[in-house]
Amino acid sequence: MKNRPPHWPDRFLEWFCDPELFEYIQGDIYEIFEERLQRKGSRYAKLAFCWDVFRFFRPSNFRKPTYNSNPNMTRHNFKIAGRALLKHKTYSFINMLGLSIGMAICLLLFQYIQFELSFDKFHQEANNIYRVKFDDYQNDVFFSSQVTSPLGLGPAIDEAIPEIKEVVRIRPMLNDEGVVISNMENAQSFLEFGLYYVDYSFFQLFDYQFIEGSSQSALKDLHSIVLTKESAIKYFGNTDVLGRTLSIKGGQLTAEFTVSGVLESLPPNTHLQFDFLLPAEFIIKHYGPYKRGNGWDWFNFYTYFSLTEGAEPASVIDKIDRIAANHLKPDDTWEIKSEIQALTAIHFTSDFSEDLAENTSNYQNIWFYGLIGLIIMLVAWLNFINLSTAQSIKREKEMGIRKCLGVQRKQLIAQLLTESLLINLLAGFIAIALAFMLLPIVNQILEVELALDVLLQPWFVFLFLGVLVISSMVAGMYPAFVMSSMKPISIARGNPISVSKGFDLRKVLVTLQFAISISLIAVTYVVYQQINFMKSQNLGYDIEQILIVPGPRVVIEEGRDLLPGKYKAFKSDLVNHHSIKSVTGTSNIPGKGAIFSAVMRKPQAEPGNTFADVVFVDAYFQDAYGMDLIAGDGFREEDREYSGVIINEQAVKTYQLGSANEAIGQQIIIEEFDTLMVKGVIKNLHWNSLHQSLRPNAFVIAQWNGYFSVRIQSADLRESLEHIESTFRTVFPNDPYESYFLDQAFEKQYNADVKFGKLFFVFTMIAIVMATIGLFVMVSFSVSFKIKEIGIRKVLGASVRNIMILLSREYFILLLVAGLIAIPVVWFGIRSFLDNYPYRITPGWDLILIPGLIASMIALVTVGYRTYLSANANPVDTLRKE
Amino acid sequence: MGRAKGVNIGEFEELVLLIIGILDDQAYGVSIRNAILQETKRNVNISAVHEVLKRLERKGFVESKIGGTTEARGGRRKKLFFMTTEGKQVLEHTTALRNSLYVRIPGFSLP
Repeated sequence: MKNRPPHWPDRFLEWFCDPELFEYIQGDIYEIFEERLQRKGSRYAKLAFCWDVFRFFRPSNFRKPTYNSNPNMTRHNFKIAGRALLKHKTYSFINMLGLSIGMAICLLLFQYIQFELSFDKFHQEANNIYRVKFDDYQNDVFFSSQVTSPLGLGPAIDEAIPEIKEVVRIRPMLNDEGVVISNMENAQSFLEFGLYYVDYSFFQLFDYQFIEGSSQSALKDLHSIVLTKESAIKYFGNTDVLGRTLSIKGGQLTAEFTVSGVLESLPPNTHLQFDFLLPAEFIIKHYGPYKRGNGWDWFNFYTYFSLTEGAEPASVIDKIDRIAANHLKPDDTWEIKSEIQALTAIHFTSDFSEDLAENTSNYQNIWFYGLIGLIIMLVAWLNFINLSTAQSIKREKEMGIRKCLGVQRKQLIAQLLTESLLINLLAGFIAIALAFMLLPIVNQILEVELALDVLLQPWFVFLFLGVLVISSMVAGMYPAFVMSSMKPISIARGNPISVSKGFDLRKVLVTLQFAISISLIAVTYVVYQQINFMKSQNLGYDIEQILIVPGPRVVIEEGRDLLPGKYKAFKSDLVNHHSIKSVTGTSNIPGKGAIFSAVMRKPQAEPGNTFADVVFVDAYFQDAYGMDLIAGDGFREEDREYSGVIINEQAVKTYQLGSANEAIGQQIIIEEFDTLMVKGVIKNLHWNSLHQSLRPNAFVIAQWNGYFSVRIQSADLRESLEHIESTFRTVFPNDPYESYFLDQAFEKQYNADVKFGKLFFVFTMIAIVMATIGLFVMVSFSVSFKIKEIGIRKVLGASVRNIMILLSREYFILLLVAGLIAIPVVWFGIRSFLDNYPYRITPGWDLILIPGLIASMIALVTVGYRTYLSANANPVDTLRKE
Repeated sequence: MGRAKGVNIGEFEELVLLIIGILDDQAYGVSIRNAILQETKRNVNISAVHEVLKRLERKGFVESKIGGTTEARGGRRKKLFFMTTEGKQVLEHTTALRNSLYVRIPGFSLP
């Protein structure tokens, strides 16, 4: 019949409702249903009926539990659970240890995922903000993406596309541009890199909290500056600095700026990390080249924009593309396609070297961490189930007597579930404490600043407790049912449970855990070996004992004519000191890339498409860096600027210059730069880390450059450092002095690998702990059935050693199987890991042997300890029970 | 006169109790809900009425009896509610208290 109350809510009501109330409730809502049917029709009545049933779904109407659920029983259950925990301290400890480690790791991973996913979401309009990106295609083949756009793009799209609400152009400091900012009042100056030039609309598009000033007044004036709380304190000691002035020198500008706003510290979860904001108009006005080609020639700006409500991003892309196509005309083979990036996705999808931040995160990693957390938790619960089952078998007599005294099965299950709940809750609290203890380590490894603030959010606390309760019920179910299903008579006979069946599953689990542990140990081992390998490779020059001093910036503004003189004076002052062997000026230092990359060719050849890394150096370069020329004489002091080039063997080969000796004296063109004579050929070298394969290098002579590299040869390092600093301060009195050792800076390139290694180390440790617990549990479980056997064997003359071998033999077979499973996993894992590296170790047998040995040692100690306990027991105690 | 804690009566409880009194021997879930809708234009859900009835019964202000059935109820019986002496007393008490306080508001007089 059509006009009947819907079926399933009715059934649901019957299911949950207390039978005593059920008839009246159902009668009442049927009556109301009929009434609504007459007045408003069947559709409304049925919906309203569902709603009524839902409204009745409250505890006071629930079915009452059928067994005696008085609070005394609950209290009794908790008391017994507590006693059981205290009586078997080792078991309880191991059980809670495994669970709480698993939970703590999950908590931390959850917090980390939460942190990552929150990137750039604090802006009110975050979901509505996008950034322009261009994809370059050569002959319809994707070549590269660029996230920078020209000056003219912002205003053009703002004007022509009605869906675009606000546009902001951001122009950061370019590579190593660096400016010197000083507070004139107290002569404090620092070299700064975290400076953005932004449009006035910056604060309309993005939401930042002002300590001083407001989004309306900030950056209105051409000579205004906005500071963050940190930079205000760095220069002025406090944040109450509205209207004070800072002077900026270096790069394209030298001017004084008035503080027009101070921002609250930036949150860590944003890719826009800056210390200073300046008006974009300032740099546009003062830097001529930006206006060339009507502002469409220089790609130094990042263009962000917001859309109006309901605007279609796809149609906006088309419109941007049409505007960009009008202005950007690469040659026939090249095509530029416009794209947009959602603000909140930039952190995960924009891993480009030129981006505003290193956006190395990606969604895959996030899911990977989530999966790891889940697996760890599952393994922890499986161990928990095994251990609880093993533990409760020891209490077979208790269960038997309870049954004999008339305890119902449901009550037994309730008691065992109470124990499970107690253990899980305690483990949950320990996990929180553990998470707080591990937090600093995690922060260090992942290089983030996490706080466990999810714990302060009510929804998470409920989720956490909910997961705890549900999981303790689910995990406690198996042991509870096994134990409560035993027949008292079979307990009295002494063979309560048949153990053959569940046993195999347990073996599979432990074997898998060990296979995972061995694989992880192997991967960690390889990661560290690979890092050591890369660090120990010969770079082709000597980076030790070189001190890097960033060159002067202020002096450039004081007068370009002065510079070469000062530059020379500085170098000769340094070299005159006995402890300094050599000084050179270079545009870039090893590990920091090249000043530009360009195609090189012989004058008669067609340009190819292999790029060479170009670095400007002065005449002392090969001397200071200890490079051996294999052909030619290199540069001389009197060589003119941009007159010669030193190249490596790879460049000789790539650009077909013949042999090294033939290359000397040839002219070579560096596209879009100059034609130079080859003055020397050096051996191949690694200017950057060994993540990069061999590239053609070109070192072009130039008179003055951004970095000084000072080679020191002295027993007294402090004296040398002091001498360098005092010389710098005398020659360049207005510049801040900074220095660091090249080898240390160079090693920082391997930070990502080291981080990866540490992460795997942590995962390995967790896997080992879990596997050890699993193994311990399994040994305990099976030994507990062999107590009498052991006793009889001992009486008949077996030694402790015999028994230990007998008991532990099967586990080493499992371990062997685990090793065999691990071999292919390790092999493929390592292969795909090493494929990322052009220079890599050749994996040998030690990669499986050493992890295997480590795992065997751990297993030996675990199994040995547990079997020793049993084998050493006095047979009188074990046999007397009969 | 001192009252035991927990035997106080809330606004909605009082309303339901009054309605039960008015409906005499025809007070059950649906009729109470309909009466509330008629008298006060408050559209309350039937589950809320049941909840209050349970509470009133626990407090001893009403007692219940199994009643007959109708066609619309699909053969299910009604649970009919009657006011007890305690229920009557509590109504008298709250009405008296309210009146005595009401007349003491300056500038108001009894109609």
